[in-house]
Amino acid sequence: MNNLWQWLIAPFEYQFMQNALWASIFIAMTCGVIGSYVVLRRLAFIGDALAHTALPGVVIAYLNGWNLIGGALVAGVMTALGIGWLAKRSSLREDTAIGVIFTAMFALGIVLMSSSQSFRDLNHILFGNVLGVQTNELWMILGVAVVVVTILMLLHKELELASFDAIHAEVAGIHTDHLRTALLVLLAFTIVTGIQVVGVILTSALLVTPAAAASLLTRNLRTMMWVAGAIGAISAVLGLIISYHFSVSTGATIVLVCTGLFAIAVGIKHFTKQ
Amino acid sequence: MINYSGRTHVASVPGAPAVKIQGLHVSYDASQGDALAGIDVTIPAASRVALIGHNGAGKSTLLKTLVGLQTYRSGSIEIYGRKVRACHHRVAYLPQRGEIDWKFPITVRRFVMTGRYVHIGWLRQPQSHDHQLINQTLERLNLTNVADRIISDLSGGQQQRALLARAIVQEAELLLLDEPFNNIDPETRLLITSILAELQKLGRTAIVATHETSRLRDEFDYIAHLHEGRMMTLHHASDYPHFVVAESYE
Repeated sequence: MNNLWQWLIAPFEYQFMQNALWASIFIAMTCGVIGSYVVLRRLAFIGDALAHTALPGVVIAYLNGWNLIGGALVAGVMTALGIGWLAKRSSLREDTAIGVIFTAMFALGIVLMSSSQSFRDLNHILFGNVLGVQTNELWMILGVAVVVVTILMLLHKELELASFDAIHAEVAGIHTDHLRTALLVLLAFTIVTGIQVVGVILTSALLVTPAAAASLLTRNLRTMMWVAGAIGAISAVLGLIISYHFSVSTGATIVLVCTGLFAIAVGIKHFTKQ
Repeated sequence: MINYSGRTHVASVPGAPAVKIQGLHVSYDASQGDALAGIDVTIPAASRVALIGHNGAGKSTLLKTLVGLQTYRSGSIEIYGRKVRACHHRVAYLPQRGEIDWKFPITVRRFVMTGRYVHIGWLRQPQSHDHQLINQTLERLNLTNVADRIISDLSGGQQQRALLARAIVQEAELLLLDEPFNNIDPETRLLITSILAELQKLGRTAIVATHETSRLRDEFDYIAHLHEGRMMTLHHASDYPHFVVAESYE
């Protein structure tokens, strides 16, 4: 028992691992909470697109010596607003327009990366670098988590209503397109912090997988949000420990643990149904 | 309270009809022509009106225009003497059941509570009098035993009753119901029509789009007949179905 405990806590003797632990817990919990809306409103594709379109923002910030997270945030928020605009005005189907834009933005990011001669530094953006989180970045991540979760709680009843009956929300006087854009902007903030843990490519997993698992375990949205947050946090902690002991990619391990918990939720759902 | 639309309560004009439509033209797309063209009708307050017409005649379009979901190209609409959407809680709209995501994880009680949101507004939570009203309405609509179930567990008739409960708790003066009699059991139909009669006694008006015409004479005061979106006539229900036959040959 003692050995197991030692095995579990050993990674966190180091300051960088403690930073990584708190950063990944905050981010995974926030992703779980907002991810519940992503799953129920079928926004998984947009979530993936927002993560990918952050890339050119990061690269441009890097090339100009600006703050990388700031660059990602600007690109993410611009994409969120652009998607809101497209959904309202374009004659294209929304998923088609998003597919065109996000692949183009991602390709632009890769072209800029390849021209910068420092591709290896930017690998962290693609695959995450939670072990490199500094204390000041940790505070920023905590700030984003508190702001996102607080706003989601304050707008909960309107977001919930607009998610299943946009017509009634409109009749009541709620501008559902503004609400959707607000949700996408919060999503952009969440994703940009998520990129630090698992990178551009795997961020949507943190959004979708815990919430999808939670949706199998509860039929109450508020409970689903907290269960998803807890699944995300557990995945983050276990992922960090496993990746430390087996010297494998931290972000990818967190995602795989998340997927394992999803499989357990599927099993629970299956057996409780019988 | 912070209102959703930023608007405050606007009182009805005393003595005004529930709905007054003049020269209404509605088009979804300029290239496809008008969905409604030149509609004129006045619907008295405290009446029950069945809105009939063929599929595609524009019944749903008319209801959506009255509630402000669909803009109109020209003409005028007054709801109790005021413009459309002058006061959000005055008009309740029951969409066709297919327009709602019934798989969403929300209880019947909370679903019905969404009818109160227009009175609650941003950043506030329902108060005890809201909960009390919900309980009374759930009981009246025989939904108390399923109040804490998820809406996906409801039958078609129960879903329709939940929609009506939501409209009732909104305390609207005008109720617009889009095909509420589709695929429901006879008991639910009877319950819905008896509640519309109760609401009428309280001075409320109901306009019900329907193609279930079997009991119109008993269940409604007036019948509004919409002809391919081009003309609308209002008749006493007792004249049904003679006027429909007559108008078909005009």
